[in-house]
Amino acid sequence: MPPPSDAGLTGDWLSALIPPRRGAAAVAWDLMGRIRRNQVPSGARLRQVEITDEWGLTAADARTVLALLGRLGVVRQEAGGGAVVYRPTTREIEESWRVRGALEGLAAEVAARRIEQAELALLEDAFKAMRATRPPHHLRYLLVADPAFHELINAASGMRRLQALVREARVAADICTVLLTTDRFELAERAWESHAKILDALAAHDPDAAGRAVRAHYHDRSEIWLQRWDALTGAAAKPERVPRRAAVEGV
Amino acid sequence: MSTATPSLPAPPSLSEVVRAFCVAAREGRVPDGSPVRQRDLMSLCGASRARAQSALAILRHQGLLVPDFRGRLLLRLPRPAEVSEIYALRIALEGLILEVSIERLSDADLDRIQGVFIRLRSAIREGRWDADRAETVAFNGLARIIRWPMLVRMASDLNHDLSSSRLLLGDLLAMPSAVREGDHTDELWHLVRTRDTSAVHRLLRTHLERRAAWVLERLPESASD
Repeated sequence: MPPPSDAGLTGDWLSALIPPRRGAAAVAWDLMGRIRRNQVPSGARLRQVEITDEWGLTAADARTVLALLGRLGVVRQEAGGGAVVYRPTTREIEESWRVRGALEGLAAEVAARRIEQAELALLEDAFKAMRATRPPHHLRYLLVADPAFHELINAASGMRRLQALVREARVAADICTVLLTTDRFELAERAWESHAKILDALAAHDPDAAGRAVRAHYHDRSEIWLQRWDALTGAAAKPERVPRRAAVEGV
Repeated sequence: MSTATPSLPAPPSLSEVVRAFCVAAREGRVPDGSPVRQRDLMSLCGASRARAQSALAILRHQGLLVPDFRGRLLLRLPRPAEVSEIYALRIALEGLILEVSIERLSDADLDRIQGVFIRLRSAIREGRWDADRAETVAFNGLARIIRWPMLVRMASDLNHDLSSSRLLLGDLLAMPSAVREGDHTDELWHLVRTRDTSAVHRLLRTHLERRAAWVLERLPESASD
């Protein structure tokens, strides 16, 4: 389903979500908190008129709220109009991380064999841009800087079908990270370290090391985010997810 | 006194029409990118109009004919780079299906699945199914059991995307057993039962890379990237 229209969003819509948030951005953030806490369940319809009534916004601002939530992936446009909340299940999130790890691990192996100097330079720039992303720009890190780094690797593989599959696979994982994002930035150091390993392996044109580094990166990220998600949803009491027995290292 | 009526040759069946077209495409008698019309199939093997129409629908569904902006159907031979990519993706995604199965299926689950594998292998040996299709069905079954619908859809789509190669190369039934390796299923299954993830990945990769090489060697040269 396509996201809601971008009504009212400026070119740099992410800036609106940096604290202190005002107007439509503050309402969008508030609604995202409710979705995160399951106070607004997955599948619930969000009506423009309810947003204007509850928060006293104009109709245009209410449309901006829905557009912001659509860009964050937590709201989807329905065929007949109207916006519906999408909150992925634990199973969908785990599937999303694992499929990304498998696909992007393959992309890194292929990319390591054929990556050119110009592509490596772009990747280094993307890495620097990631490192330069500081609080409170955590959403920019998650939604722009980190995907840019990985998309460059996938593109360097030259595998078009793989890139399309990754775009499909990443949806649930992205929404999980967005919903769990607080105003802290605690993941950054760890992610920089694993990104540096990926970059080194690609620069050394070492397919095995590149594939391993990407798979380990996603394994690591999925463990962290799924633990948080379990804590949020109380899944630990009723496990929907089976703990892994095998490590991805060496696969 | 009775007079013998000379018997007319039976019109070609639908599968014969499709096969005749695939042979013509393989041999380059129908150039890659050229339009294919109902009357081309009729003149190729004497098919009736209705049968030629059905054959066009099959060839289109399997991806060997693609419509252009004018609504014509053009021959599109599978590109080697696309076939290589699909097999590489199969190695990654089918490897993931087996890995997750090893992690979470019980021995009783694996017993049930083994029964399905045995039936599929019989179908391959008897020539009723080609190995690619049977294995993909088996993997889809595993993916459904582990209940990851996106992975199932991706695996199914990849299988469908190999349809045009399968059709063009005569459904791969002519694939020699050294490549088809009916027995690799036993070995793969043994490794799944012993829950040896690394060995499963290695065997699957070796097997599918060999199969991809077999297909790539036989694709017509005109199917350039």
